[in-house]
Amino acid sequence: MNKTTELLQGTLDLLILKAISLGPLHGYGVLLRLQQLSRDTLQIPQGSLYPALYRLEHQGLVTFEWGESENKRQAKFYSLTAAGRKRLREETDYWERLSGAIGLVLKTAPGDL
Amino acid sequence: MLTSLAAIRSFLRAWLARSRMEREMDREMRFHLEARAADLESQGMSRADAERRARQEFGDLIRWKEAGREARGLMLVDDLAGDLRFTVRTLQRTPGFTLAAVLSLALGIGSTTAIFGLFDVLLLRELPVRNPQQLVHVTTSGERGDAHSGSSNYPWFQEVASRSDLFAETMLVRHDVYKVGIRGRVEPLTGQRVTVNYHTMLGVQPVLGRTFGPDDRPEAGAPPVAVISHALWQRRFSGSADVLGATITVDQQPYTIIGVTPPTFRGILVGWTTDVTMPLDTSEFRDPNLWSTTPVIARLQPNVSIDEARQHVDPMLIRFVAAGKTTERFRARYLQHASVTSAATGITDLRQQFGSPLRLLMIAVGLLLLIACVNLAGLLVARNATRQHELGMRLALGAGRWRIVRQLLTESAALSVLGATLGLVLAIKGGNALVATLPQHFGPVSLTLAPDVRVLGFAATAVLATTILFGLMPAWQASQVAVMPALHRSSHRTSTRLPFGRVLIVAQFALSLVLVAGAVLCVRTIVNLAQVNTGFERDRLLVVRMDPQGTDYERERLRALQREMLEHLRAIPGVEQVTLATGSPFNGNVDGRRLTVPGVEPREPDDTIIQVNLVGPDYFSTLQVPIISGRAIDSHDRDNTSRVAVVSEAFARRYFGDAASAVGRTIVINRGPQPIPHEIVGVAQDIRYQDLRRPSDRLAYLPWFQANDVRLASFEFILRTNGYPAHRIEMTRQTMQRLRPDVPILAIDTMIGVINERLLSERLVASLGTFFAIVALTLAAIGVYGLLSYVVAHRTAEIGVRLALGAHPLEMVWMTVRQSLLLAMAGAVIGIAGATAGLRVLDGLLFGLSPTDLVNLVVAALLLVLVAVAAAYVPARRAATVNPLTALRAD
Repeated sequence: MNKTTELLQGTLDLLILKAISLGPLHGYGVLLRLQQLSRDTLQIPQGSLYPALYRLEHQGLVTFEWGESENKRQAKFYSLTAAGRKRLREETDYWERLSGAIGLVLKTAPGDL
Repeated sequence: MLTSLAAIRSFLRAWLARSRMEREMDREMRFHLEARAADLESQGMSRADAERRARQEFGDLIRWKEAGREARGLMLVDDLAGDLRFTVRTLQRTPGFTLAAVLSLALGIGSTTAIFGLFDVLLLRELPVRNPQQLVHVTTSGERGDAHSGSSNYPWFQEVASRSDLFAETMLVRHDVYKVGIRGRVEPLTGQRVTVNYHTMLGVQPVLGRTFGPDDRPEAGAPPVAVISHALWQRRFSGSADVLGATITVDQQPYTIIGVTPPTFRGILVGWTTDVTMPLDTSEFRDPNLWSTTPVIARLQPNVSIDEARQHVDPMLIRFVAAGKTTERFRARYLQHASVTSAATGITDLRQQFGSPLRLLMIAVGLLLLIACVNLAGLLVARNATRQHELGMRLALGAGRWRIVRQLLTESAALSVLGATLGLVLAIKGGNALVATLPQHFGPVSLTLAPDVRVLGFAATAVLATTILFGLMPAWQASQVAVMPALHRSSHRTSTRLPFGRVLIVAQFALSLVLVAGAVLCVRTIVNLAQVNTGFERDRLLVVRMDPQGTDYERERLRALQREMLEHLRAIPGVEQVTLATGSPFNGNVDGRRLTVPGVEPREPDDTIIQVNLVGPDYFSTLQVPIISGRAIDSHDRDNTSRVAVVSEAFARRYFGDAASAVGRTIVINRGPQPIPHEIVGVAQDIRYQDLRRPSDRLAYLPWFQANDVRLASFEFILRTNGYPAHRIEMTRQTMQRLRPDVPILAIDTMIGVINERLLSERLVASLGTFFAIVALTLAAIGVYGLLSYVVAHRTAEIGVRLALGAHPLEMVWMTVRQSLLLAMAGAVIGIAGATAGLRVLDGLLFGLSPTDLVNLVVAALLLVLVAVAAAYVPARRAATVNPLTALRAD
């Protein structure tokens, strides 16, 4: 078994935005892409993708159209809107600043001060 | 902006297509499960295991769907439902407040909508015909002329029609009341004779049969045909197709029905359903010097405006009249100017008679609606103030301010909708009652006052404005509640003074004063008019209006009927005296004749015309008009005696200097073309003849039974009773019908009734104005009551302390009443200023007083003060009976 990590509260939206930014995906595709990108480290409750997707849609960050999946079935493909791309940039910046800051704090050794 | 748009779109999509969204969500999640299962299967699991595993990994499907719905914004819908449920509960908890608020809105919106409905029908609504805005009425007018029913004749009509550069098409329309016989029953109906292009020009298609064509012209000897209204078709022919080809009589002439017009089309005369339409025989008025009241209606060329047409018709008329032989006098009175007015909304005399009273009433109801809204705002302010504790609690528990504003807005919206619904019911009932008070001279007036889209639109706008304007302000104010003081419930930290509430009350009082002062003016005008000395006995007279035209009663047969009727009417118990006349006072039947007075030079054109009233024996004694000099007309004045006349005092003074020197003189009155000398045998005192506001023009009374040229016009029997004349109406009708079942009675009414009909617009404004003023005062009382109740409730502790320290309960009463009085007085002062400026609009309607009459304003202000004291009574008593112990413990 791989060692898995639970998602931090509120980061799922960011991850979904990122996954979709690489190309239109259906819900299951988002899951696969996230597992692939995180090398199966992230544990995502599968059903929770959908409320998150609808929330992003409600906020106008993603849009969708019905298309054909790899196995020739009708599926809902999500893609980013302009607002979604902007949000992704903002959130990424914020995340990097935050994780950098937290990293700095956590790396501090007793002698550093 | 973008995101909020997307949110709205997503929300709407979710709300409008909820089931589709559910389907899609289901489909999407199922796809996920199947795809996952397929992947797992390809990794070597059995199908059943793969499916189970996929469901496990996905988690609780139902929960995720619920979360999905929430994310979609359906939460807002559920919130709204919650708001509504909460609103209903809150409103139920304070039934007094709810009732007051709903009633004040209902009264405000109801009256506005009713008056607007009438206004709309009379002044605004377009005819249901093709391009109504192109229709114009070509009118003529002069110093006596009346722009709405100007004169015309066929040559003038042709002159107008020849201007094809201005008018695409032109027609003549003559309205009248006809005695229409259908299957043996004769009834008076509104009808019209029109040029045969009438229906095609208006673009009215028949629902049955056909309309007129060029072959139906009576001048060309066509058989007489008629088109009837949908209403008549339904009423008398039960909507049967057999109606085509049926024969009806119109003033005893047979006509064949060839068509039925659609139900929406009632003719072009506003307020009337024109039941019978016949082709006009234009050969009857080809003489260019004879003018009659027959409106010329034209359709403008598409590229011609009303203003352009107007500029052209005036010179046309002047040229036309100059070429003819019209008398100078007639020209000056009726043919000085031609004009063009829009006929898009039809033509009407009602508009002239009621246009300005309705405008006044519109202003009044506008004020009332404003008062109602101010009142609602005041109530909301006072109420929200008492709810500061609750609101503070909700804020403390984490409710957003916007959430609270929304809740309060929902409340005022709910009140508005309730008020508007009730108001609409009032409007429909009241509007129809209003129509019932319109004049009944010519049969039923049929204004359609069913609520239509525009009336509803008006009500909806009023509601919306109320909610937003007055719901938002208190809502916002309340949401500014500071959490801590509100929770502490400490009365000195939250305002007890409610400055905004006070401003609203003062505004309400001021507006009310204007309405009250206006209403008092109108009522006093009616009282003044009722007290005018008419110069004759008006309280005990009964008037029977007859119209022999179109019946078998002619000449000698008619005379015989009249003599016989006089005898039998006199024999009715309780009837003291009976006479007859062509023009009894206020019947509107004025008969002008040409006059010369030997030995007296006419000083102005008016001196050559005289109003003539043909009167039977006993006329002066029946009406109790005093004879100042000489004798009255009596039964000796008949065919074979010498011609005599009684003249009015004004006449005698004008021509002979005084009453006494008139007796014995001769006047020459044209009867038809023939001048006939009459000897003046008496002079009667002046009476109010056609207008209560001023004494009559000069009058000549000629003996009925001496006038062998009596036209077959309408006339009246006048009875003087020994008691209340209305009690004799039924007996009179029965007596006449027993004697001659076919007598053409038009109406039986008391003289007071006849006069009141003349005062219709005054009475309409006075009675509605009074009603509005009472409503306004009631609303003001409610407003004051609400405010003071709040103040007293809020100061209970303070009052308790004062009472405990030995203050007299009466002081507490005074403290409360004083506030109300101060507000009323402030309102009255502002209101008096407003009334002084604003009530001038009533000028034309008033009689015997000025719009800024001081007594009037004082009366209105006193009424206001009275209401203020009355409204303060209950809160004041509550203040006086505060128990110091309970009050102190409560805080």
